[in-house]
Amino acid sequence: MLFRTPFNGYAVKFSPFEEGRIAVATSQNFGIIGNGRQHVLQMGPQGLVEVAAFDTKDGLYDCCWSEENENILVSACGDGSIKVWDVQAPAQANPLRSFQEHQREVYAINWNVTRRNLFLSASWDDSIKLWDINAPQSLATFKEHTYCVYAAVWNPAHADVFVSASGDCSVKVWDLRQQRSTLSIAAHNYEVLCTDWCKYNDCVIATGSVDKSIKIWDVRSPTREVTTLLGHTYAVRRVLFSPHAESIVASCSYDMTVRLWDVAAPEDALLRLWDHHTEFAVGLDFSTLTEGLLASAGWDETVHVWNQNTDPRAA
Amino acid sequence: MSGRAAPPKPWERRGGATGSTTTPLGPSTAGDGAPKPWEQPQGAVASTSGALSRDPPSRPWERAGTTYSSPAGTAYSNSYSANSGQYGGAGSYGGGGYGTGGSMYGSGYGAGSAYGSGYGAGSSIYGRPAYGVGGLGGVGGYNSYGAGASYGAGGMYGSRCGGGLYGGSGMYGGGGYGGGLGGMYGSPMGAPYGAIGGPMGPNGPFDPNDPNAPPQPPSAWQAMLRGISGIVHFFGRLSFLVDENAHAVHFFISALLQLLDRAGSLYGELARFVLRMLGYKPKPKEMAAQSAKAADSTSAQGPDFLGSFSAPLHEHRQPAPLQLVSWPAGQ
Repeated sequence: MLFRTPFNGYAVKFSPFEEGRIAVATSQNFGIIGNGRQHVLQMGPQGLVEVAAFDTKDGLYDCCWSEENENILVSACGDGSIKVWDVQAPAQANPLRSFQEHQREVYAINWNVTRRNLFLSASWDDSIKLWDINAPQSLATFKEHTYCVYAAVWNPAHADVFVSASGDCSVKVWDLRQQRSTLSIAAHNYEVLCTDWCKYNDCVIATGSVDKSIKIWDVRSPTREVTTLLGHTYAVRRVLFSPHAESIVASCSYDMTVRLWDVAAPEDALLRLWDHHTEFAVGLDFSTLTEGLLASAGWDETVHVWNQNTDPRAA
Repeated sequence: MSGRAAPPKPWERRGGATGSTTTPLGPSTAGDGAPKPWEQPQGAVASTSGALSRDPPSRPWERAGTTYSSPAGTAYSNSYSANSGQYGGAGSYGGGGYGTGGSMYGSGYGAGSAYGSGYGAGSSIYGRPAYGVGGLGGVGGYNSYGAGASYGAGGMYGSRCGGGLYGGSGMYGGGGYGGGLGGMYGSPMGAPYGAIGGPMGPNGPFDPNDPNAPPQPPSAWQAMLRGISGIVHFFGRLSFLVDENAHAVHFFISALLQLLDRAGSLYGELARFVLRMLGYKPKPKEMAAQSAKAADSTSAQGPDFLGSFSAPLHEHRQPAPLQLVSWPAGQ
């Protein structure tokens, strides 16, 4: 299924509550300058239909559904703010809240699936902030990275643990109970743009980098990566472990492709390659509710939702 | 904010992640049994290798001149004062801190040329790392650089790499304002700075930290703008040619007309012909006059002032030209 957005897509996320509901964060002019728009789409028999759309004064780089309330959605905004939207509320009530603490662009946002009032924001001001949706200010700031932080992701098994990926080429593992990061991995030789936890093994992370590779790490033996997945021809923008299978990883890249990998077969890891985007593919998500359903968004102003066994263009 | 509980995640349904002691991902067995980072005692920060001792890359908005908008707003002085020897009155920029809104700009400058109050604002318009665009160069600071040359738009210091859309060159030209720069800062380096400004090439001011370095290649933005400029130039040429051709046609036609219209009667004849074609029959005056003359000479009626009017009555002499004039009617 295809949906055309007026701006360039940056992120796409499936709702954890409602099947087929999708949030899409977009930015005008490729996010360099201009406005942003947060779309909420619903899959139906006639394709993707827009349920709601919210405009912002700066580009949106990421979005994330609340795990607590099916109507709440947060967006990471280019002006350093985090916008909270209520899909059901009338337009004048939105944004519900705007958290303005970051000094620079907020680039990633991630909701805690266990402690469902908490979420993280990663920003280009080198810091990660911990937020409670009900608190007026951030609860904590994690500032150890020496360059932009491009991703921060909660461990699905430990509500206190998260991993962050930064442009200083490192990946850090943090524990809310400790003052400083508990692990720092010099993961790549170039900027690390994305990371994700394996959903079935609480010690495994995947990282994607500007060096075009995806690496799989075991945080208990961080000196060496477990596997390296090569194949992308430009920087890897997003990497995700499947919520349904332990060894399945999806990635999207500035080479405009979306790829599906099987980490357990390192010599023949590439399972699928989709080249339906005609510009940078930067948004990607697995549906947790429907196995095999994928969504991607790109700078070609399209959002695709498809089953991994079909062609996105045909669906 | 309350709602129904989220459906359990697939890995929760299957009792996934919680207690993994094995590493099912193929070759990684190295970590088995090792403590997980979050299980280690506090303070024991594990770090692999020395990778973090590496110098972090400079941010695009720092690379592009380092000048505008640091979050703190006062962080400039360090980077520039370090070079003060080389750059003359480096206090010139940076000393006092630009973006700090209204702070005076440097000790060397004398009275309150508070400039560039616009710098720190709106961080979002300055480039973003993902593209390496290098920033739009900053918009602020058009009020008075001391002498009040108010050419504002930006990045004058511009981006040493010319990365700024405005700051860099092609548009305002290195030479163009290069001359002005020196005086403007009132720095001791004024004269040489301005002098160098001339041949500075297409990439804007040189790197203030390394004046001898070659100019950096144009950024993607500049390349694109230059491409567009080429296209616009081409069409400009095209329309110039069209215009020029129109002029030529005009001159040629008017010359032709003048040639054909030596007697000045061309238009009159033409108009008569056209009117004739349209069916309007003007009284043929001169024919009448001719025939009147003819009548005079033949019938010797003496000067007849009404001759011209009575001429058509002389049917014995039908003047040939009349036939010609009545040609469209036949015969």
